[in-house]
Amino acid sequence: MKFKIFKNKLTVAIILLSVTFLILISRSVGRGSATAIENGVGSGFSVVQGALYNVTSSIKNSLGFVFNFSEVKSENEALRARNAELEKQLVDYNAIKSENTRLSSMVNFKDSHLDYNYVGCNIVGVTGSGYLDQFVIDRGSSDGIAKNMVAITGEGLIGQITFVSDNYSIVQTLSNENLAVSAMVESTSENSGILKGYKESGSSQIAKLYYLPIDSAIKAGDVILTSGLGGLYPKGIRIGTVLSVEEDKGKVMKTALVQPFVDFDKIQELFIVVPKNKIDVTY
Amino acid sequence: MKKVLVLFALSILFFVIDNFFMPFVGIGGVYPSLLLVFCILYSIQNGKWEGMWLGVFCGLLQDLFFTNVFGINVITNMIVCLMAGVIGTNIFKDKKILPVASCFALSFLKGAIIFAVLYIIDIKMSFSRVLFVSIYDMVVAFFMYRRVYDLCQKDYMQIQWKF
Repeated sequence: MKFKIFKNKLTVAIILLSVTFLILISRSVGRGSATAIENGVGSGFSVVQGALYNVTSSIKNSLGFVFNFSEVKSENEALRARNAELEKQLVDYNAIKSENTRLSSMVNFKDSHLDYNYVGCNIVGVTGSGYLDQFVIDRGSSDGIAKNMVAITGEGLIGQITFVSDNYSIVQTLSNENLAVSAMVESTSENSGILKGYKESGSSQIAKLYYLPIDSAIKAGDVILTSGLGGLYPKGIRIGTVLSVEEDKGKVMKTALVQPFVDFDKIQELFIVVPKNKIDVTY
Repeated sequence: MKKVLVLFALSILFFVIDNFFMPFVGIGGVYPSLLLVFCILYSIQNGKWEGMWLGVFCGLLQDLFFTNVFGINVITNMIVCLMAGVIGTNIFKDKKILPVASCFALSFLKGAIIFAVLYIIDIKMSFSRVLFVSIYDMVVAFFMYRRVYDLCQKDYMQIQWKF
C-alpha cells in the first residue's frame, strides 16, 4: 500500500521541508529587501554583534600596533611628510574651488558633489560563511539606504549594498565578482570602464577594470576613480591603483588589474553615498 | 525543555561568534563556521530527526545575514545534518577520526551545493574558498568534538525511552 510511506514522520518532514525551502529560495532570488520577521530578528543580532565586533576590532588593531611598532613609526613619518604636502595642495584647492563655483554659477552648471548625502555607519559583523566577502552594517532602509548604493571610507571605495532591511544592510566588498562600478582612469580621463571584482587563486582583494578602449594609454600605477555615470554616486571617488594591464584582442578592449586603496581587514566605519534626488537616478 | 533551551542558547551563541570573532582568526579571508560544525557533530551524536531540526534552525539564523537568496542555508544544513545523522548511526562515536573526517566531507558538500545554487542564479563565488573553509572546519571539529560528545552524554540531553 503506497500510503505506508507517510507513516514515517521523518520522511514526511523531509519532503515538506524541502518543498517549502525550495519555494522560498526561488521566490527570494535577487531580492534586495527583507521580510518583517527578518527585520526584527536581524536588528536584534546586529545590535549585539556591533558592540562585540567593535571590541574585537579595537583589540586586533592595538595588538597589531604593538607587534609592528617600527613599521608604525616609519609609516608615521611618511604620513607626516605627505600631510604637509597635502596641506599645501589644499590651499591651492580652495582657491580653485571658489573660482570654479563662481564660474559655474555664471554658466549655470549644477555642482554634482552637492547632490549626495553621506550616511555614516558602523560595521557590526562579517558574513557570507567565508564564501562571499560581505559586511553587515547598522543602517537600513529607514535611513534611506537602498540596494546598489556604494560604500566608501576616507581612503576610497569599499563596495556596494546588496541587501537592505529596516535597520541593517549587507555590503559586498569590491573583490566580489558580482559588483559593477563605472570607473575612469584619472590620468587619461577615459570613462568607459566597468570595474568588477576578481578572484585569483590567492585570496587578496583585487578588482578588474574591463571595457577600456584598445588604444588606451593606461599603465601600471595609474589611479582609478569612479566616473559618476548613471548618477548613482559622484565622480571622483578613489578606487585603487593599476597593477597590470592586458589586451583582450577578441573583445577589442583592454583590461587592468586594480589594487584597491582600502584595506578590507581594517575597516570599522564607512559611509554610504545616498543620492538626494532619487528620481534622476537609474539603479 | 531544558535541552531545547540549551541548544537554542548554544546556536545563538555560535552564530554571534561566527559573525564577529571568526573573521579575525581567518587566514587569507578563510574562516570556519562554528555553527555548522556544531550542527554536524550534534547530528552525528543524536541522529537524523534531532539533527535535522537543529540544522534547520541554524540555517534560518545563517540565512538572516546571507544576501541574495533566502533559504539556501536552511536546505543545505538540512541535507548535511541528515547525512551526518546517517553516518552517526554507523560508527563508533567515541573515536574522533570518523566524525572529524565526515565534518570535512559534509562542509565541502555544503559549500559545493551553495556554489552550485549561486552559479545557477548567476552569482559568482570562488570554489577554492570551499576547500579551504572545509579544511578549517575540520580543524575546528577536531577540537570541538570532545566537548560536544560530553554535552550529549549529559542526562537532560539523552532521548528518554518511555516504557
